[in-house]
Amino acid sequence: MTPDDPKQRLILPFFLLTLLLILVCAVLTLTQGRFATGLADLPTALLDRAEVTDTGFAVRQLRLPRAVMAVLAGAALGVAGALMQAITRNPLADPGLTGVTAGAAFAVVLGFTLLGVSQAGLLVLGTVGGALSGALTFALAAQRGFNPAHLILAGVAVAAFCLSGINVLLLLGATSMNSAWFWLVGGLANRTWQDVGHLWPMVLPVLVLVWLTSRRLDLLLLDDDTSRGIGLHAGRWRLIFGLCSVVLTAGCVATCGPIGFIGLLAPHVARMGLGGAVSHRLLIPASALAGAAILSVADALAASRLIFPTEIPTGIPAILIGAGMFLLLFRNGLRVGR
Amino acid sequence: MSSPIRILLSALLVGLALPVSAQDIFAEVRDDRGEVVQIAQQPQRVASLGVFGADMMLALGKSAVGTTTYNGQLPAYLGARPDTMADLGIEPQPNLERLTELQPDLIIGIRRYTEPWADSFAPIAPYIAYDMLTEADSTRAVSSVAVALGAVGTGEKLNAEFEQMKAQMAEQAPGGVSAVFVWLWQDTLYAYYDHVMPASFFSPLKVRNTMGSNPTPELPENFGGPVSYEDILAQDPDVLIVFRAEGNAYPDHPALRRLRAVREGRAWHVGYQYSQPAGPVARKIILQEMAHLLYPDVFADPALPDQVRAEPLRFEN
Repeated sequence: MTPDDPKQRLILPFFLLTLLLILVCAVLTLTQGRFATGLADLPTALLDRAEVTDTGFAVRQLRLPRAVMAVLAGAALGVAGALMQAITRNPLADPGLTGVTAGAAFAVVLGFTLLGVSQAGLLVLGTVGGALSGALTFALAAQRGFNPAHLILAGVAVAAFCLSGINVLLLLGATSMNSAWFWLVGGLANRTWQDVGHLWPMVLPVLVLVWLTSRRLDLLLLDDDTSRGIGLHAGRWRLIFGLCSVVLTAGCVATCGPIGFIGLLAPHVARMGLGGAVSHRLLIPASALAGAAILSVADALAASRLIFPTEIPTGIPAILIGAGMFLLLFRNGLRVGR
Repeated sequence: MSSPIRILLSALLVGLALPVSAQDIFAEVRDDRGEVVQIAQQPQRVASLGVFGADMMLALGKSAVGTTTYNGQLPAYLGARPDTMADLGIEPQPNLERLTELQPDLIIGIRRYTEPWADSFAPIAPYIAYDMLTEADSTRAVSSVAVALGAVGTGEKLNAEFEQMKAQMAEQAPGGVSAVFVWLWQDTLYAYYDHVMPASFFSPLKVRNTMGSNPTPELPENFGGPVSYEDILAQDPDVLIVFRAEGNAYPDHPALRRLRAVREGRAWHVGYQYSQPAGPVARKIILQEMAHLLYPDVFADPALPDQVRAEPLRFEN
């Protein structure tokens, strides 16, 4: 891309616009709730370190971690989606394709219904479950040299196995199906600093690692023979980036439940916002911001009670927004790769 | 022909005209599906899909031959052991093979779970199903099942005793208390509206249910909804009653610890009977215990086995 490239002119507006959207949604999240909080009350509430008032407690302990989680999880899912689309060379790939989403959800449901694992334990169990499912998918795909088609097939099989396991556990377990369903749709309500503390150590280092090595993602879009010709070990890098996607996704599912569509949509929104195919050096941060913005908007909508009189799981507006934007993208023609 | 002879002949003709099966019917009841179910002989082997049937048998001093369970766990208040009452699997998908083996002569089920299996039950035994969500449902089911079990009049008696107990408690209850009944699943709270048992007991006990009433009364099966922790903090009930399925982890959310009910030691984790409160035994012990939890100075702590009684809500850390 040259300085005169029209795409160059779109970079700054796209990044500023997504940041602004995230900020607006964060303010909405911080001011919405049962304890009335105007914009003017926000600084006082945020500085109420002793949490003397319920408003101070609600803003600091309930709404702020929720807004932070939307950014962290959205960014993680956005980047995980970009990684999966690159390593499978498939524009319809999303992080769930490795079976990690279903695996993490299965582990959480298992921990809750049968093992009686604590909230903190569930976060660890969900992450481990997702990572194991992802690892199983990659182990199966490794037998065929990490061929993208076989990776997808292995992921579909692992995901199907885990999803059927969830159904069995819900039928056997001593649980209210309604409440279980609420969690399985995915959401950010009731998240705490404990969840943030679990997620950020997994997300931030991986995002930095992926960004620093993102040129390899561009090369992975070439066919394997060409990659080999220029000295890139495509299978190894596919495994590394795949595992990065697994870690990002497993952490998100363990903390927020299986929120759909963000990982699939965010890279496409980033490409559309940046005017088309761009290097992964740009696409990775752009996907992170797009994912964070989409999830922030979805969560602000979920908490606003504009759609239903009661709060709904974030996963529902996320899917509604995702489906609408995806149709728009289809009309403009999906682009794979960069 | 003289009048007595004419009457005698008429009676004889009517008797001959009746089908044999009608003469053999032991009981006939209409269940909540609207089905009129005929029971040929007094049931001796009752299979309970859901706890209600087993509860009803206990109220009559008998025992069901089998009941559905939560993951193999029998409700402690029934005092039943797995070797005396067979595990029939889970309510939405009862174990039909096990059910057949038991050779029941009556199957009693919760309508919303078991109705899809009605055709499968037909070759096994007569099947009756009830809604069992509201107090009116409970009253109707107790009367109807008592007739099916041959305890005509006992259902009305059990209902009258319960209504009398409720009325006495209503007289004694001082009021001025708010409470909410919630299910806890992972970190999701699910609160009951006031038309559904056991939250419906708040009303006679002069307790304000902070969750309020069903916003869609045309859909009585809308028995509750998820509440955010900010909602429950804003409601800040005096008493918090939590159903947490056995074996599940204890909660660990900062908003729960901030609730007045928790700080003042008025948050309770209650037993299995609260999840299926429609039976005559369950509803009675729930009402007695709830009255005590809501007004400990007015109502005595009911004598319940340790496995059945409410415990102070515990936290993970």
